[in-house]
Amino acid sequence: MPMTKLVLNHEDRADLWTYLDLEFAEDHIDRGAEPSHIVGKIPTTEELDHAINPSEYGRTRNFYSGHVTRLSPFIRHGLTKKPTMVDIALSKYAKSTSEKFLQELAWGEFWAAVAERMDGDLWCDLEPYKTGFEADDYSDEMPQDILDACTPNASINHFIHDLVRSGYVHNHARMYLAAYVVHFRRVKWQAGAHWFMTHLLDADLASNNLSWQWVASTFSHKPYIFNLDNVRKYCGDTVNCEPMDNPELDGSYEQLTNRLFRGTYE
Amino acid sequence: MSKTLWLQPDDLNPDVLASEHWDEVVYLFDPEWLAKRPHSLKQIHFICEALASLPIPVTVYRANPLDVLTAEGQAAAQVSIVEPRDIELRDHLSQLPSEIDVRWLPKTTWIHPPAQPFRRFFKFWNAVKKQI
Repeated sequence: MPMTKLVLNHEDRADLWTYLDLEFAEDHIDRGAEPSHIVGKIPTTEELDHAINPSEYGRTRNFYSGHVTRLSPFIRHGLTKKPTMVDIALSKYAKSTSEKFLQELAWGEFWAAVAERMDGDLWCDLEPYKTGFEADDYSDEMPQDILDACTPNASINHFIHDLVRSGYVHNHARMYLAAYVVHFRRVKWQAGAHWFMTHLLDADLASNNLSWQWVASTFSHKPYIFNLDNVRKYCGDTVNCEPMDNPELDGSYEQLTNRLFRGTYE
Repeated sequence: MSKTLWLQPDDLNPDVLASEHWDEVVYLFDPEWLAKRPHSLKQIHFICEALASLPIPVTVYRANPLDVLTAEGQAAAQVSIVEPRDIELRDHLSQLPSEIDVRWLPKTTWIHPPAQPFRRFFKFWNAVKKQI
């Protein structure tokens, strides 16, 4: 295998992209069409200060256009550190007001701690599914219409475009995508977790895989599901939530539970 | 003996980058790791941009670690690695050939996990929140 010293000073981001596409031509990686709009660098103090507002975060974090920091790719790669983020948060608001923000930072530590204690690899089911189905009832492969963002549901396709084009997806949309893949399409969480690991700029094995297991119910008391009303409530200002454009998601929780799970799944 | 710091994707800007003197700082895209772990060109592009933005020059390779870290002129180098959080990457690095003289540096931690294991977040949170 030849040893290649990479040249990183290029005219612009597109030039770097073209160069890397050639240098990594032999590697089996997802190619994509263009770089993410998220630029890899150390965030400035001003950027961190602007991004971190724990009060707004606590109030709006579940909304697609809510005030989330979008700093996860930078945290993932050590370009910004959590203690710095905590200092900024607590310089603005009391600990009680900042609690949801601090908890969000702590989730990654929780997943890391769980992963450290696992006796085995991070791709195994930690518990059985609580859906009335066995693991063998789930497909090993991602359906092509999901990979192509051509599912029957406009909102799901919107979130898939976020993932594939930018490498970033709002946390709530990640949960929708994971629940859609595992419960609506009955695909093994491992296939979905692999898909996320391929695309997310903040791809962290412990956080990613254990979150998928939480949604799937192999690391939680019950499966996480959602319906179109929920998507409309949190994303309706940005995402197409028309029932006719989201047929698989439209229904009450009772209807969806009866449709998606077997017997007394809980 | 020269000192080389080998940056890992978990921490492209570790504290030791600025706090210690390094003869060379390197980042490697190891094709074996690229084959083992799903990757996209977007992720590689993001990492390369980030490496180019660091205050200290980093030499970036797409290569087998053995070729880079034991190349002529570097045979006497000791390679320092900040221990990754990613347990798969840690396992991958632990299988490096013995020709590479590795000094493991402890990873920086924000929260020290409690001694007892917790399987649910809010029990974990209640145990650690006083550290913040």
